[in-house]
Amino acid sequence: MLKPLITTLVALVILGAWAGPAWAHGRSGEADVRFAQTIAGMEITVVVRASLQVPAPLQVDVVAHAPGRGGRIDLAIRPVEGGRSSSGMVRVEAGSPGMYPVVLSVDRVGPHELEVRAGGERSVLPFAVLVPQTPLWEVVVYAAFACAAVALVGALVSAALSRRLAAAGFAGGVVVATVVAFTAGLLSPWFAPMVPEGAPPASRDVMLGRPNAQPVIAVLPGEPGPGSEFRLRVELFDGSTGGPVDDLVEHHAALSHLVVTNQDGSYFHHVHPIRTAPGTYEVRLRAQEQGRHWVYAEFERADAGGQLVTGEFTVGGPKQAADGVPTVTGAASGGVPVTAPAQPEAGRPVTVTLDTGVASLQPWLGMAGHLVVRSQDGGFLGHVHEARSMVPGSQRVPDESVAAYAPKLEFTFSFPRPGRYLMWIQYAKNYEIVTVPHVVEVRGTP
Amino acid sequence: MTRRIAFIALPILLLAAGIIWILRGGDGPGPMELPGRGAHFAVVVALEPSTGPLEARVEIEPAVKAEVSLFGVMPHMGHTTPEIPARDDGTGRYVARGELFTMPGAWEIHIRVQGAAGTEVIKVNTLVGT
Repeated sequence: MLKPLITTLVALVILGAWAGPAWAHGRSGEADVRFAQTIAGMEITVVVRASLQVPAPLQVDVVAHAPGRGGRIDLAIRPVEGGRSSSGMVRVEAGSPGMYPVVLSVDRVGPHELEVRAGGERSVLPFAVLVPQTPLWEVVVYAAFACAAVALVGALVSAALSRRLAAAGFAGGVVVATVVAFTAGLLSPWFAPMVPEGAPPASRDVMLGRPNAQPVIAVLPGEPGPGSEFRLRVELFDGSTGGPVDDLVEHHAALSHLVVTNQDGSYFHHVHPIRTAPGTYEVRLRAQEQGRHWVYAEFERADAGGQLVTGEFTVGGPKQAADGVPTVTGAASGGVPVTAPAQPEAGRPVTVTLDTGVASLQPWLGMAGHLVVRSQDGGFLGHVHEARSMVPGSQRVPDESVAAYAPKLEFTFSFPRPGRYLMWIQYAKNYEIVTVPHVVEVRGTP
Repeated sequence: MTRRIAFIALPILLLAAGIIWILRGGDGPGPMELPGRGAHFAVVVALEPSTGPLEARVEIEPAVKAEVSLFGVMPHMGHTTPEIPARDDGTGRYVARGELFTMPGAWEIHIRVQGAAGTEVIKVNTLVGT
């Protein structure tokens, strides 16, 4: 009996080690895909719900955070490798932030494109339809328990019929099957999880990391005037090949995050440009005041970490008489941010707390809150996530409709150098984005 | 006879060990001592790395009067925890109580030591269990 037991255990370990990596670019087969987009004057997040099987209907939710003037949003999903595409639309109501669902369909796993069209703008977002696969150890556990149950019945029946040898054989089967089930279950944390069906092929020996991406940032027209609308274009090129960088993956619920600010911080936009061509991201904005503006683009290439690239542009026109003041946007209802210690020191952690006054905050971009920190001279930009709402990578990102976060938002951050820093805390309340600015003076080490 | 007993006892013992392990919740991180060295000081941090409030004992060498504080950094998630000041607990010994880790995973403990010789932040690595 010992020999088959040992053989089974060894086989289990080999089978477990055989499995491949679980996530494609950090996404499991059970995770939704999120694309924040700033399109047609709206700030939306398109959520493609996870599929448990294909072909099947595909739930897509458009979360309108800033609906602007509203309007029709057309959505289409098509497989990259050919096949049937599926389309639908939602009509976002002006002044009504919220969830707008639509059901599309999908008939195969693998690489797809999600096309979002609104107000004459079109964004094509690449993603993969994944279907989770049952891990082998789970199959072994269920099969072993089923065998144990059958053997147990056999043992009982044999005992009742006074078939001693058969009863002993079945009893042995119960023990072996139970040991196999428990062993497989206990060893499961050490088995590599299954690759979801549809995930892009990955070489086992590939090292993480890709070359740097370099931006070409352009404003159309070249120098917008105060109050005029302009198009900000970020083209990304590979630092090694010179080709367009078109391997961006979902990074905090968007392909790229763009922060645009002016010198005094009175102009602040955290937006999510649409993908107009491979490696090209664009967003329409309205200029406010004359002066120098900084652009920061944060994104992540496949199999690589996050990157931040920067650029700048100038808004023309007569110089302002006085500096502007950063202002609150959205329906803020709480207090002002509080830093602890009150006089932060460079290089030491500082906790910034904001009491929002409401206990029903929703996640935005996967977190209860975001803190964007910029040095006065624009040379540094930090992006901090709310401390209590961060979840380990293996856990699912909370849904935008879950209004479960407590009123206090807490951020911990170490300012790199002494000086003046501009900060913006952002969170979602009733689907709407609230931005609360703050200024902090950081002293050097005494 | 002895062989027969062994054949029966071994699987039962395996089964019992498995059940006990499950009931105990697997092997959690036990107390550990993490040494680190900077330009002016050497430190040894003794703690049980887990989420939630914990106690960390820091021993510095040379054993002098210093201002000692700790904070956690999780590089993979871009996460920093607030600084916990450590109180003096005898020559060269300091105790800090508070929350150093907010989630399981690989963390760095940054020990800030400010003494007459200078100020430095010494880094040690640890793995935090659930």
